[in-house]
Amino acid sequence: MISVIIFAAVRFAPGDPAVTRLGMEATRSALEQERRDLGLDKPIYEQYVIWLGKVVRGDMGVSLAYASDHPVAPLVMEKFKRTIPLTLAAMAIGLVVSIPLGIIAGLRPYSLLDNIISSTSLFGVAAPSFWVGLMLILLFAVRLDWLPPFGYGPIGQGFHWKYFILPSLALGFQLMGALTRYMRSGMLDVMSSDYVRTAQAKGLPYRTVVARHAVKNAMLSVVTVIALDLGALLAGALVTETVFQWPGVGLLLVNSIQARDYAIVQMIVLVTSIWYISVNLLADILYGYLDPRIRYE
Amino acid sequence: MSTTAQERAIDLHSRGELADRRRGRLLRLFLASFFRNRTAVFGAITIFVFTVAALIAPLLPTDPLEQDYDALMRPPSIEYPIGTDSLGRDNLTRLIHGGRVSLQVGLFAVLIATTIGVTIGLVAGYFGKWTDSILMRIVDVILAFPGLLLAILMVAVLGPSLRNAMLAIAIAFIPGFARITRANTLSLREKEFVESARAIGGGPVRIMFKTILPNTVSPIIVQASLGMSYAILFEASLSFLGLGIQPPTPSWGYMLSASREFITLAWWLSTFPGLAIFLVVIAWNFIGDGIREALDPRQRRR
Repeated sequence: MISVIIFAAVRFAPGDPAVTRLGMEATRSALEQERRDLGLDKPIYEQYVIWLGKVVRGDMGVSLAYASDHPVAPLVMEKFKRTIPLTLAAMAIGLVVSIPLGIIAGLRPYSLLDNIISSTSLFGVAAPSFWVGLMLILLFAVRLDWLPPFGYGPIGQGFHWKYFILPSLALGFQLMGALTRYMRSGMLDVMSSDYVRTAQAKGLPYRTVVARHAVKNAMLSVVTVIALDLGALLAGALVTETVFQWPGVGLLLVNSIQARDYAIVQMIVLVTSIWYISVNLLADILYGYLDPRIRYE
Repeated sequence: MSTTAQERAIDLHSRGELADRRRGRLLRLFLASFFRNRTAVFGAITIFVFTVAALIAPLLPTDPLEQDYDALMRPPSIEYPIGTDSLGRDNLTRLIHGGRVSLQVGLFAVLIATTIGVTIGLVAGYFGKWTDSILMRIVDVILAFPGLLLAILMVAVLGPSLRNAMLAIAIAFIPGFARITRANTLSLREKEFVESARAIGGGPVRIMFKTILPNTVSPIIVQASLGMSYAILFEASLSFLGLGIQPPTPSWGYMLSASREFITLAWWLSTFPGLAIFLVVIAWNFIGDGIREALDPRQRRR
């Protein structure tokens, strides 16, 4: 357990000053005089220490554009509450669809079924998620008129589930492409390995070999790459949100960049990076669980 | 035991010729293998077509900015193969000009990332010890962010423009090149030919760039062509968010962003720029895979 925490510390350490440094450069470039009372005339390292001290206490500073004394943390967290369900839904769609598809494709390489699955997943990888989003809108909102094209709910009312479907599909589709490809190549590798041949040779039913020997080991080889994609999913959600005018972190980020509201930008980047690092860390732990030979010293 | 200088020169010369001939044969083998791969050929043709279109774009008789108020939002027709936009501008011309932006950003971003990343990788791998530790920690910092987020952040800080988008994408791609080059350098520097280069008095710079680099060039090429596809995807995302090249210059991401307003009226505006991105991205992917398979027989299709 301790080893895991140390690993986390090493991965975390370089992240924080980078976030700060990028944020600091930003503040230097604009609005220098007006911000003197915010403490921005102090040396950068001093600002950094102050900022870090505040971050640890959960104080992310105040938004400069929204309201002069509006704390950033609650505002950003409010938006994350809308983005996280989107990310989780996309993740669920991605995992539930791609793992079985990848297994099927990997078991029968170059069959008709594999070709269909592989080309669909290639489409998912190469098509930008915002374009997939636009195409989904064209099909389901404009042509078929089944679902609303943009927004969070009917105007003036709160959230409605119908508005949730298209954004999560668009985001999930992109993830699905990548994961299917990993899973397929993982299965290909495993199925030609010695231990699978041994398992088959000793007369185990095909089903058992696939389920107990092949799939688990194929998962092992793809866990780390999957984690990278899941981590990047939140960043992808930021772009997808813009397509669907989903009022989450993505829209907030774009608006804040345009308004040069760096406290908000800083916090969004920080939270997203922490998420990214945490998912990768989780993958390393899972990796150890899936493959007991790996021990973190 | 003593060979004259002349003999040695002749010997070196013939060996060089032999190496040249061998290199030529390898190149032919590589090309043959690459062109047997149908998807790779498809990729190469697609990129060729888009590149030619981008290069001749300024010579076209049509202007991507010319507005025609008699032809607003025309659907695809013979006169306008993929329609016109809300200001009556010809969409095909805009698409071709947008390709210039994509190509430019992709090329320069990958070039910058390769140059810096490979240099970092060579230096870190060759010198090892603390040089390696410091350089790789810097690279790890970049890796602690999802690539797209890093690019968004940098453009946000530097201000949106074509040049800044290029730089941001380049920086996001440095770790990939640095890590691959470092890993190869680590194993190559122990090899005998590097030892001998050192024995005849080659300095570190010469050994890194003349002895080690040529032997690690193939994974770098693969990484570069895959990098092209991501760079184009990133550029499209940035300009979709309004962080890339600024209007009125057309870019695919911006065209898609502008099409949102008219999605219920003009399907062609949101379809074709995305299709172009998709084709170019997939083509670079195919080329990258094709090169990888042609260079490494073990990775050939089973």
